[in-house]
Amino acid sequence: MTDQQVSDQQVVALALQDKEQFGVIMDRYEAPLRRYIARLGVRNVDDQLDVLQDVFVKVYRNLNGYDAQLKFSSWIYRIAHNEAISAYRKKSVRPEGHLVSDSEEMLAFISGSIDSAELQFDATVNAVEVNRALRKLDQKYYDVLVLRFFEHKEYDEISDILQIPTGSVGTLIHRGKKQLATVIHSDHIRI
Amino acid sequence: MNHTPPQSQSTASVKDRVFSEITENKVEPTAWYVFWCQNSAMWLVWLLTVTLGALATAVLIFTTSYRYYDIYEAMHDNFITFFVQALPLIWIGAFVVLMLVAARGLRATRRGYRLSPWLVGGSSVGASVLLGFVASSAGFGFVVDKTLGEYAPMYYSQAEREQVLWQNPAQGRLIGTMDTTAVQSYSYITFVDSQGVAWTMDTSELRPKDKELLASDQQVRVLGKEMIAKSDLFHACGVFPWMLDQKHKMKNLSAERQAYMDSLYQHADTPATRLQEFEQVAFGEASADNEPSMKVCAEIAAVRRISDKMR
Repeated sequence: MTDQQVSDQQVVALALQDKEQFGVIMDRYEAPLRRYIARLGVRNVDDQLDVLQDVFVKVYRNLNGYDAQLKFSSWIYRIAHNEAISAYRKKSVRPEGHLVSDSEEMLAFISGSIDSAELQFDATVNAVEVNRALRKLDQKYYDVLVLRFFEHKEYDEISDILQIPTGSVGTLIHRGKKQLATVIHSDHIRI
Repeated sequence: MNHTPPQSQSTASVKDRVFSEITENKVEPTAWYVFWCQNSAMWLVWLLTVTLGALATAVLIFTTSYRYYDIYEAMHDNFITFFVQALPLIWIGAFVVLMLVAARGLRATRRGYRLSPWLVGGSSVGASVLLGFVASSAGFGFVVDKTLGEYAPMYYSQAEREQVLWQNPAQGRLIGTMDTTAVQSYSYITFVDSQGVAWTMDTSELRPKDKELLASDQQVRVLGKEMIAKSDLFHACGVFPWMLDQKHKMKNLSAERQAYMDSLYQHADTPATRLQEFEQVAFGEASADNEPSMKVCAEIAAVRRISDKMR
């Protein structure tokens, strides 16, 4: 059985017996978590590595607290989210999300939800413009939009990561989209 | 998960750094029971606050139902001002605070975040109110109120509040017991109030059942009039049992209030009494009967309020 065939839950159980097995978790999650941390506003590479290190140490320390009824990815994302927030709070700076591509998919979602008469969408809009508008959103909207449209998480996963009711996830996404449209509109960006 | 493990320099670096920190700082996974205890503590907080909320509800039900059937006419012009003044604000405040803590506790349990705010708040309030009704029917409201009144220095129980309200001779209210060892005459008795003052009480206008209650050696409430200020002469118009010595059922409270109203109606300035007054004026001593004048009780504030309502 290769590392890829073993489920996260099984790896957690193994890591509790043998800490070397924890390396499998790090192998699986380092890249996605690092990208997520960057999107949450930790832009400096050294800072990202520091946060990532703290995340994994915290995950290891709390392995027994993992609730096997949740997806392991949701649990580890939750820890990463909290650590990233703590990191930029320590520095007392407003986070600047660093989105990496994927904006076309985001636009597809937005265009499907906003009245076309209110806002015209244009395929020429690029990731930079969307990213600039996203940075102006309230943090709570930014967090759900990033998880939904850039990390491609389901509603119940977002609920587990941000520790909010599933119903609230839908509401925040809806309001986040509206706020994004308003920001884009007010910036006179024709999309 | 089918992630392809990244093979970059930074990947190896992070992994090495993590293992290095784990080894150097002897980091071990926290024992499972610590997490179990944390989660249990949150449930315990919820359970405890809901239980306390239930007791607060029970006291609220006790005080509110007692107030609802209380003799507000003896003290206030209308029920609303009386009820608002007598609202047990401390218990309402305690209930709100407890429910906020309960909601936070439930939200902080392992999967509490999945519950909607309505469910978190509603379940806490609902459980407290439901248990509160059960506790109230078992008499806990009365017991908690009485016990706190006895042992908490800053807390005034319903009984203590009621004593303060009724021990007010200048307003025509007394609370105490009849001194059966010092019978003065058929119409006059000695009454010792809750502050130990002995009153000469005129019982000529009392109904037979009032006199029976007065002679029963129980603590009673007397509505009437202090005949001369600072004197020890009190004219009794109605005698009512002290209802705060034990928990009473609502139907008892209701019956007692009805008896009180009947008593006041008897003294009220009804067409019949007005006719009697007219006869006395017209025919002097040759009126229909030679009952003593009803003037004293007909003039007290509580009876006047009843008379006003009847008009």
